[in-house]
Amino acid sequence: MKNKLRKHFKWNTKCKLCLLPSLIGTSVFFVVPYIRVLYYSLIDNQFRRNFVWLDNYIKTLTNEYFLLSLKNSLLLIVTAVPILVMLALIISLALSYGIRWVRKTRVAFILPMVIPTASIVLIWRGVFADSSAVLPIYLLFIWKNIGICVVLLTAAFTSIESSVYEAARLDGAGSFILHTKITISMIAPTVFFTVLLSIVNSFKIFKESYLYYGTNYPPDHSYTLQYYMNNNFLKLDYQSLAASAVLTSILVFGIVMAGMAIQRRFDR
Amino acid sequence: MLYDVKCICADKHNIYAAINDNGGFLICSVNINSGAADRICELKKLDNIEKIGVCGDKLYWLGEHRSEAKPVDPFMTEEGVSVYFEDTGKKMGSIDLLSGENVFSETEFPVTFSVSGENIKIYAFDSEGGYYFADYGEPSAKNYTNKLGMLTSFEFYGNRGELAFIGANDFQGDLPVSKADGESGVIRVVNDVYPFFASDLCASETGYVWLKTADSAMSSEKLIKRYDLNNTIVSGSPIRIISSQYFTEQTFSAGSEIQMNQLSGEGFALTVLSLDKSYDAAMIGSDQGIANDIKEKGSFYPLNDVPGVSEYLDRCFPYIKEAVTDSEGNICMLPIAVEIPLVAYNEKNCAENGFALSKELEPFIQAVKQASAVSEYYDCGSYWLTQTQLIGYLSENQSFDTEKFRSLALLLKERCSEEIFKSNFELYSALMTVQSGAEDRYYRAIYEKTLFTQLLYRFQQTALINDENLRAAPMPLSGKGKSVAVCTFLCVNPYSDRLSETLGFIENTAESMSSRRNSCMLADLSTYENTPFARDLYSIYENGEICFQIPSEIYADDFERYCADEITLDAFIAEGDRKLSAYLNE
Repeated sequence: MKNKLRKHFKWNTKCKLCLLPSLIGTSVFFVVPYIRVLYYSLIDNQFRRNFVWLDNYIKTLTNEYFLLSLKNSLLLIVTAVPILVMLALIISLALSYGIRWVRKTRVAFILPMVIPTASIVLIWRGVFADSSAVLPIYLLFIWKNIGICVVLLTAAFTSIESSVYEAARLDGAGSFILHTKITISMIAPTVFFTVLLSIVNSFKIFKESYLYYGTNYPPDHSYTLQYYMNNNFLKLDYQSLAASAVLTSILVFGIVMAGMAIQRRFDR
Repeated sequence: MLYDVKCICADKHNIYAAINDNGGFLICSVNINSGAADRICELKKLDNIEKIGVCGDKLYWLGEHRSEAKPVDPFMTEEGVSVYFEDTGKKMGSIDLLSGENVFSETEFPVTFSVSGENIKIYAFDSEGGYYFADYGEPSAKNYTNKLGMLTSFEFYGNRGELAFIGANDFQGDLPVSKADGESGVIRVVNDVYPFFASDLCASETGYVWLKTADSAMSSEKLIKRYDLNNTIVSGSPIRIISSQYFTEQTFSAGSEIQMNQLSGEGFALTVLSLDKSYDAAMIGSDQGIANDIKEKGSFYPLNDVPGVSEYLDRCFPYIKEAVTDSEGNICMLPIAVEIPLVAYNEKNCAENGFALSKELEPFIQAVKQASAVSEYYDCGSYWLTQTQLIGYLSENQSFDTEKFRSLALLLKERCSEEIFKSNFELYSALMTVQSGAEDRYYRAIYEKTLFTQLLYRFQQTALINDENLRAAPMPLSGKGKSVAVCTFLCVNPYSDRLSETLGFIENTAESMSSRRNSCMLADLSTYENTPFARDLYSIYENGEICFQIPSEIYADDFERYCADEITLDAFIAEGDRKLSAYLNE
């Protein structure tokens, strides 16, 4: 028993030691800077350092451009992310079921991931005559992210053992039951992950959008949170930047938590 | 017989001369001991020889073949700064002193060169990397540097690899010093030196520099002076200054060595916001969007208690002091230069052609029209005219949707896009060449016919302070009846690990700036020369205003599109107002 405990303790220690570099990295590059940003969001500026508590948050939350950027970012999540995930699901399904013409074009889905953003934007600007429209940015987001979604969902589809389907068929399950009770429930965790990943990626569409519009002040419909933060950064307004960064992180955290709660309910 | 000797050089035994010979140049030598003269070679089809230098058994020359000048694309730095070069058809070559054979250099756009011991160092330009230093024998090994701009002459002195140079901004009473390593910018300046444009510069290994100069910028008495550059450093460590754009004004070293580091906009913001200790001061222009944010947020060290700063500001024009003082009375920036674009004009030539330059936009445009009808010897690019009007408008309005702007936009579009608004770089070269006292018939002829020319930079303006034929007039004024001034500031990093040294540097700089002549910042008229041009300059700068400008990104491209008829005025106003509102309110 003692030996077993000792072995267990050793194994535990080894695991912790293996985790240590990752923990140190996360602390140094994420936790500590986050705490620092939190601190900066509560002071008047980083030179005088007088505590103003929630003033910066109130200022940010009442700023019409922060609210506009928040609305645009949420709109992108609400509209483009479902379309992206649905499209990726359809393509993954077609790939998994071996539809020939889809299989032949699978490289095309991966290509946007490896082409430099600047080249993509150049092509995009050529395709769309109206450089002030919002549609190109939504399509660009879907096109750019569909590859990773297809990869994840195809992996989920192909990881379902055929024996599971065979057993269900032997139990008399029809194809509707097979897909609703087996396929959907088995790929659900990956779908949730894909949705969350896409939501996070939707916050990173700034580079593409900036290059597409070529300005820090894009049309109002495309003015997202990153523009708000980037412009405040360039104006050396660190307090607005810090407050909006904290608010954005709370928003993302809330979305992730909500997603996980939905997933847990779905699992039950 | 009299010879027109353009330039000379010497070695231990001979003096060599380039002599003007009707459409070409003769290269001759005179033996120092015997006095025997010898003709070495003839260089045909050259309009000018700027410099010759002897090294070993070869004589190197730099000349101009003006008809071969061609347009050169500017080089764009990683920070997005355009580095311009104007080709005047410069050629370079070497002559074998024994055979007299001349071989042209492969360097396409040489700027100048210097003989340093057994080596010939050239300074040249190419579109791939901008300006660079290279050895004459190895022109492909280039040390690119875009921190010095256009040089007219440079010489190595001492044994630390430092060089003194005369460059585009050499008329401000300073001699700048740098290195040919491709990294150093102006590492310091020697104050109270007044070199002339394209002055001859000589240097020795012992650290002395000789140049053609004067006791002040105003003095007409030319002297050859010797300066000991060994004793010009006051502080031990260099003052590290960051900026996010190129500044023509860098002559503020006040005895300290300067290390300029030009960063991108993002790099600059990151350095400042991360409270980086590794820089001492930031250089900012009022034409940068961040300037006002810095002033309002108090991001830098307040200079109220630094000795001499308040006194210096009291001596400046009131609008300068106002611009650097925040609402709580803190002095957050040290102004080191103010620039107002203006027009230098030949009063007699303009009067003979029946027009005068006005301070109002419409009559001013009319005068340019009249000038274009009678002569090609004027310079008035539409860019600055448009810019100053738009900046002036935005200094008092926060929307483009006004009747005032509509009429201004229509006027600027209809009139300033006409072909009569053009730049003529030769006029500036002619003004500078004649001012330097150089005998150049080509430029002298242009100078005498000049009507007017825009002068954007202070160093260009103060260079003409002694000219008896020229007067200065403001560009058309803003709605407030003021000239839009751009101020360059120094801000001290409160977290610098050399804060006390930096404050010492600020103190020395304030003291040095307080005693400058023709500074265009000091309100005391007695510090200016008593010439008509200096008086005009003073009254223009006295009537200036510093506008903390809105980034041109907000409106410039769209206004260009409007002028090119790509969008309507209403579309411009809608787009401009949208961006302006976002910039002001986000």
